[in-house]
Formats: sequence, C-alpha cells, structure tokens
Amino acid sequence: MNQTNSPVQQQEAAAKAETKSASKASGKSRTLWSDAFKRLKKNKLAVIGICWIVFVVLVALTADLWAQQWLGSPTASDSTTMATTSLLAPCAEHPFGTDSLGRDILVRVIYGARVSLSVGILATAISTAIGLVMGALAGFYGGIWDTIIMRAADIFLAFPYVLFVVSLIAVIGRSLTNVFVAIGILGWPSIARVFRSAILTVKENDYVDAARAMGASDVRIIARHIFPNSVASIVVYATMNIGGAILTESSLSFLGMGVIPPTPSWGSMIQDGQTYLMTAPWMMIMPGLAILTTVLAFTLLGDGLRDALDVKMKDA
Amino acid sequence: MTDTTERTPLLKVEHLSKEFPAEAGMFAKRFSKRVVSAVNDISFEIYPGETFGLVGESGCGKSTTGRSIMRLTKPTAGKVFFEGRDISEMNKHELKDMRREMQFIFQDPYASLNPRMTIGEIVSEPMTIHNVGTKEERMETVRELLDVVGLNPEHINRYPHEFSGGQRQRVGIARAFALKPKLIICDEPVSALDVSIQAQVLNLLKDLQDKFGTAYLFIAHDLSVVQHISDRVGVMYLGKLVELSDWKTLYTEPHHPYTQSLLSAVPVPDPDIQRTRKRIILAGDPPSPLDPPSGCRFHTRCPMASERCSQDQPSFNEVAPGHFCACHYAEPFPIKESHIDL
Repeated sequence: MNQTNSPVQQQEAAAKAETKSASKASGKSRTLWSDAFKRLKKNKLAVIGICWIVFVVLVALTADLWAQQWLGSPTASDSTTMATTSLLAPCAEHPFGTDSLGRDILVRVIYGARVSLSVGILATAISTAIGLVMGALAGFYGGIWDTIIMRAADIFLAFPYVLFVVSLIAVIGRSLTNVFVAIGILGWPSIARVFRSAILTVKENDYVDAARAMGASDVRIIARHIFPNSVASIVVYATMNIGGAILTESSLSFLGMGVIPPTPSWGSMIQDGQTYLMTAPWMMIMPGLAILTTVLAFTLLGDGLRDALDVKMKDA
Repeated sequence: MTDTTERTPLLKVEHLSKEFPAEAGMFAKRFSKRVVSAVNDISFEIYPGETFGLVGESGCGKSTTGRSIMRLTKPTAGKVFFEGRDISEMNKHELKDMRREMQFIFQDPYASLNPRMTIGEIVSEPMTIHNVGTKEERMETVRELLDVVGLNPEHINRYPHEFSGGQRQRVGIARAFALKPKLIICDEPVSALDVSIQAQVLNLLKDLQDKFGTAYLFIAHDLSVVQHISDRVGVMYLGKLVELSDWKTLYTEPHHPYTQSLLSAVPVPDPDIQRTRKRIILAGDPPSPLDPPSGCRFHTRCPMASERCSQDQPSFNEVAPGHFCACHYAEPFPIKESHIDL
C-alpha cells in the first residue's frame, strides 16, 4: 500500500497536515508555564511527589475533624490506663503503635506534620524573600554590592548550619516561631547564590540591553525581564529547600531545641523513641518514615520542576 | 549623492574611545594598566534619513561603537552628539528622552526577545515605558506595526519561541520602530539569518526607511550586505576607522589597503572572473587589541607597509571631497573587474 500512494492520497495527507498546523496556529497560545505543567504531568516521580505532598497537607489540615475521635489526643496521656496502652506494637486499633505514655503514634505523626510542613514552608518563604533581595542586589548591580553580599553569604555558609541555628535559638529563645525565624534567616545565602547566578546569566541576554536601550528603569528591567526568566531556578531550589527545612526542624527537635513538648514534632518523636530503640522500634521508625517520605516527595517535585522548567527542552 | 556638508548631522561622534580592563576582579580597575582598546579615537557623522554602514572583521569594535553611542556601555573618552546634545553628559531623564529617538536592532533574534513576553508586550514595551497612548491605542499601533513588518497581527498574543529566526527579527524591527525614532542602530541585524531571509529583512529595512525617514547606523561584517543598504560606509580595523566615504567611491576606488583587500575578498558570482581576478591576501590574524601595533595599526599585515608605518600613526585625512582615509600612502585603487552593479 505504501508504495502505491496515489497523488490523491498524498494530497489528502498534505491537506491533513496543513489543517493540523493551522489548528495549532489558531489555537490558544502556549505559555511557558503551561508547557512546563504539561511536562511535569508526564514525569511519574514528580506526580507521585505532588500526590504525597497534597495527601500530607490535606491530612494535616483536616486532622481536627477526625483524627482525635479515632485515635485519641496527640498530647494528653491518661495515667490510669497507661500501663495497658503504652508501647503497644502496631495493631488494628493503633496502626503505628503507641509510645511510652500510651499516646497513639499515628495521631502524633499527623499532628507533627503540621509543625514540619509549616516550618518547611514558612522558613523557606523567609529565606527566599531575603535571598531574592540579596541575590538581586548582588547579581544586578554587581561591584561593591556583589562583594559585600557574597562575602557575607560565604561567612554564613562557613558556619556549621545546625550549630548556627541552635545558637541563634539559644539567643532568641525556644519556640515554634523562633524555629521558623532561625531556619529562615540562616537559609538565605544559598538562595541568594542561586538567584545571583541566574541573574548573571539572564543579564547577558540582548533583551535586557534592549529594554535598557528603550529607556526602561532598573525596577522594570528586574521585574519584567530578569525575574520572570530566572525565577525557574528559584522555584526549583525553594521546593527542595522545603525538604531541607523539614530536616533541620527535625534535627533541632531531636536535639531538644525545637518545639516544646508535648506538642508533637517528627524530630522530637524520634528523640522520644531513642530510649526504646530495642523494645519499641516503631516509636522511631514511624516518624522517621514520615520525614523520609515527605522530604523525598519535595525533592522529587523539585527535580521534576527543574526538568519541566528547562526552556531548552521544548518538546514533550 | 547629496552634499553632506551643508546639512546638520543627526548624530556626531567625536574622538570616541572605549577601553575595557583586561583583567577582571575588584582591584583590576584601579591597579591594572592592561586594557583592551576596543574603539580608539573614531569620529563620524550621520545625517537625517541616511544609512551609514560600519564594516570590519569580528572584534574590530563595530558593535562597541554602536553600544557606546546608545550608552549601553559608557565610552572611555570622546563625545557623542545627538541633535547637537552631548549624550555622555546626559542625566537619567535626558537619556530616557533621547532613547525615544534612538533605537537598537540586535544581531541575535533569539536572544533579543524576552521569552516570557508575548509579541504584543514586546513590541508595545517602548510605548509603555514612554507612556505613549492608552493600552488600546498601543495595541492598535502594535497591530499596525506587525502588519508593516510582514507579520500576521493575529499573532499578537504568541510567544517568541513560536516564531522562526526571520520572523523574530521582524518582531525586533517592529519594536525598534514603535516610537518612530530618528535613528536606529542596527547591529548586524541579518548576519544570524539565512541568505534568502537576509534579503527580505534588508528590503524591509529599506522600505521602512523610505516610509518613516529614519537614519540607520548599519553595522555589518559583510561588505555585500552593507552595499545594498548604505549611503556612506566606514571601514574599521582594530578599533580605528581607516576609511570613510560614500559607498560608490568606496567600492570603486578604495584608498586604504585594508579596504582594498576586503573588497578583493568579496566573491564574484562569475567563475571566470573569480578564477582570474587579482586578490590581495592578508597574512596572519589581526593583532590583539590588548597590544595594538605601534604606528599604523594595520602595518603588520599591510602589503604596502614601510618603516614609517610602524612609527607614525597616520591621520584621518580627507583625500577627496567627503572621502577620508587613514594611510600614509593612500591612493585610489580602481577595481576594474568589480561585479558591483553601479
């Protein structure tokens, strides 16, 4: 059949191809963000990551409606029944087991998700806000700004991160808010570096010169030309940074510098479980799994975003 | 050729120089003496409505000249007068006003359009910046401009990556004409395009010039491209202007040995002539602008160079009315077998 293609068939095929391209041409224009979303949807691992994050967020947000009725309070312990309910292995009634005070571990993991997610997101928001301003100043204006800001960033990065956070919390006091603030403030140098290098790359493009030649102000050049073209790297980095902030909060709580008991946090739960490592390993394993899966989900999403936002990968 | 001496120039470049520090770093500017002299003491004038071609091989400072005129880089020395006002002395506001009258077309149509903006936003941006008209009026102007440059006005909401190189360059041209400027600096606007597209874009630029009376500073490394569009041509070598004349004279009677060798390198589309004609072949690469030769910068490669050339820097003299040349031994070199259709 293929060899005996009649001219009519060929014409038909040509016409078909034409209407196809015409419909593509007349269709709604594709923006880079919608393209990126399309590519992201094709990345299975990233979709799994998104699903898991959405699931964890929903569970944490709606926990008040159902978790306590089903599994009991995440904080209060009943001393009268403690003898029979403490350190139970995972069973139908307590899917994740119970801890040394007889509290259900699942409900504590669920409430711990609130702490972890809010720390992850808020701390990242703080570091991103500071990092963007610093990175923009350093990258766009260069010169003395660049030297001052980037050397300051080097100094920040030269300190062991957790030690730095611990000492800052020791100074400003131990509370959940201060955990956000400490992690947020100390996280800016890496964001600033990423944004600065993105700006340095974008700045060299002719369209920035074109805007300058038109008489555009610096603010306009940054907002309309540089930021939209360099924000992709920040989105990727910030996403991965959320996972990092969750880990830092867990480390802090594990070290006893994070949230104040009895409020559950994944890190403090692991610390509690340390004592019972041999007898009741689920006390450590369950919150550990929660940290692992959530951080992994953010990393997978960030990875997927990086591939999806890469303008060079046109077709998908 | 109109008599240029009686008109007032639109743009006047006087002894323009631009040096870049050869070493990067925070102390380089203060302590390092090594500089790349990209543009060295060049002067020329552009009159309203004319096209001034600037040619030279890559790295000779053509683009830096264009960018210094536009104040995209600050010149190290010299003055640039636009309509009699000195650009290098202007403050921010004066500069912004001046930029209404002077626009730029870039070489690379892929890098010169912001990929995150629609064609409509890109073309209307100069008007937005200078607060021209309402949003509806601006979009109407954009549609007209797209039509004028040969693009479908329906494509106003498309993004640059949906267009080909030639179409993108048309978008860049539409943007440059958005404010109907008096001067457009075209920095190799066609060198990134296919030869067939080059001709289309050149014709478009010519048509637009006839329509709007815009003057062009047309930068190119290709003499045959410049020949199509220019009224007068300046030839640059290693940051110096070596010859300047109206294009007919330059193409038929080049005085400077460098221009002569450039013209002899333009291929002739007739194999019989191409095989037999005399060619001046320059030996070696152009010297580094980090360490330019003493005297005449061309003497290291010049077939006519003598002792004097390596010591004395030749001045830029008027060898015939309207014809300037920087050579001690400048003399006309008629190109008899020229393919150029006069």
